[in-house]
Amino acid sequence: MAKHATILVVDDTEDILDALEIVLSSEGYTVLTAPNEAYINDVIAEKRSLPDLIMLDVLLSGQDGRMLAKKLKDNQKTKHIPIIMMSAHPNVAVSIKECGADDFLPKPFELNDLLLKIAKHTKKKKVKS
Amino acid sequence: MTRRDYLEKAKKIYQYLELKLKNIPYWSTREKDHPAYIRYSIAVLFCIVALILKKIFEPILGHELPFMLFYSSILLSAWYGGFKPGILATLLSSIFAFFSFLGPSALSIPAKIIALILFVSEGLIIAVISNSMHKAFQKYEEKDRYLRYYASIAQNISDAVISTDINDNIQSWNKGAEALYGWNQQDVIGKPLHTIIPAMYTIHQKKEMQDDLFSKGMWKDEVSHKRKNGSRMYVLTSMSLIRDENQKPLGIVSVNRDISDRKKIEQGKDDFIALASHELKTPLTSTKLFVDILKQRFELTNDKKSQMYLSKISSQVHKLHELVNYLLDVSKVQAGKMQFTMEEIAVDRFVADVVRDVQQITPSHRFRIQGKTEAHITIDKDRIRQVIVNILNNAVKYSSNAHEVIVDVSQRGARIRISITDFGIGIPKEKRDKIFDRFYQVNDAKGYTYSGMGLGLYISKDIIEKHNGTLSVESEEGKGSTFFIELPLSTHH
Repeated sequence: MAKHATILVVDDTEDILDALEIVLSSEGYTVLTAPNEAYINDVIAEKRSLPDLIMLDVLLSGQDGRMLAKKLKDNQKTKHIPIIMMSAHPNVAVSIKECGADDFLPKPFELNDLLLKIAKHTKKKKVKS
Repeated sequence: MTRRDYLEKAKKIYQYLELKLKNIPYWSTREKDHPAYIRYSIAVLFCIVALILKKIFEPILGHELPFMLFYSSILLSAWYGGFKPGILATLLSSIFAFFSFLGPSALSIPAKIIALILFVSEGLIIAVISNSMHKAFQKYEEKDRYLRYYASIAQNISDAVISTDINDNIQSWNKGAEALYGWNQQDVIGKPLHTIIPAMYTIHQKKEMQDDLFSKGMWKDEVSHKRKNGSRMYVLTSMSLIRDENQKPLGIVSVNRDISDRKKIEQGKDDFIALASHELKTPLTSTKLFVDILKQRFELTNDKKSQMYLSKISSQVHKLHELVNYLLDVSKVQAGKMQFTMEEIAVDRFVADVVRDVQQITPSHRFRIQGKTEAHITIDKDRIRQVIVNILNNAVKYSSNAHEVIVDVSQRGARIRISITDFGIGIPKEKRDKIFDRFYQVNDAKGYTYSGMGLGLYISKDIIEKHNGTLSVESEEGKGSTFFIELPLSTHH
């Protein structure tokens, strides 16, 4: 498993942020959480260091996660960061690819599926380290 | 109105039409309207009038044209009275004409006799022709009445009825079309339909329309149409090919109905279900995650009791998740909006994987896989998996006294068949068709019901049918059931 990778989780549900932080930390990842786009904007503006993977909710309060994903993928500095989009919305799976996101995890998900997807997208990091 | 009401109404219109046609009050209908004595009297009257006129004109014409005017009386008698009064008029006229021959004439006696024979023959021919012409005239009027009646039905129907020739030029445009699109009849006749009603067809719709019109002679679907004022609306359009008696296509008639209101309600319902399922799934996500976190903790402390309680919570959360998915799927089935991501897979391996996964969480029964195909099918893996899991779970649920379920995979021509057999309560004959209905559930012999919403098979059948396959069942009450999933093989294998 690729440990010590930094994962940024963006979701407007506090409980999900808490749960993911506990689960992923216990798996050895460094977890950053954010309830809205502010953190991502900081990342793009190079005010914060780049995470190794971003988990992004599709429907954030007042924002569309897909737009944020597109913004990240359009930026030279951030476009290499793998993005896993999450959503409980039934009809968004199709539109995920269009915004450039690397993967999709429908909510609610099994812990195993979550960990497998994260491992898959942080693999490269492991080879390097 | 239900379909039955429509049929009743159509039947009444038909009966009314039939009655009307039977009793058309033709002033000239002979056998039906006028008794024989009137028809024959009219023939006699015409001949007398002809004779009187002949006498009046005799000072001018002399005796040279003895048949003149009698032809008219034969013609009119046959027209009004029919063939037999026509013969009567011919005979009377020839008698009157014969008396005229007695007067001074340049003709010799044999010539006069020949002239009389010719007159009688011509009279008979006129009677025949006049009578048949009258009959033809009557038929034409009858047909004309029919046509005008049907034209008025099409004209006054509240749906838009539009016909075009094979070059898409508009041939007819009823009042319903005027009301729906805002164009008047005189503005559109002869113009190409696509310039008057710009429609938005999907590529799939275009292909299906061409195929269906060609093969079945009709096509029906929901399309977006533009009105004269530029606004768009959804219509249910039903197109039919018009052919002449030699089956040559003449054009297309389409009946269009505005369904914008229905669309709005459907959209609202879809939005609500999507929102409701989103709102239900969000708390499920965090609940599941926290259950997993607690599970890890209790494993560390080896707290068996808490682990047991937690696994109960976990299975209930799982059930809740399943229910939300069912509701979402049902709304998708009803709206015809289920989406599929197709990929080609090897059947044997796929079935084995699904069965193994279900086996892991089903300790009560042993799943036995029989048969091998080495075939490939192109399917939405997740959806077909959902169907197999659903049928396996049903097999277990309805066979609590048995311990085995048999899964058989075989190839039948260009199809593969996955059959799942249980040895449970079975399905009574009269209920076998109903099990694929929404919210239907089978009771056992004692009338006991089983848990669940009765949605699984309804959704499964739709999934299989959207894959061009079939889902069917054979069953014997008290002995068990076999469900057959048949799917087409991948074409290039």
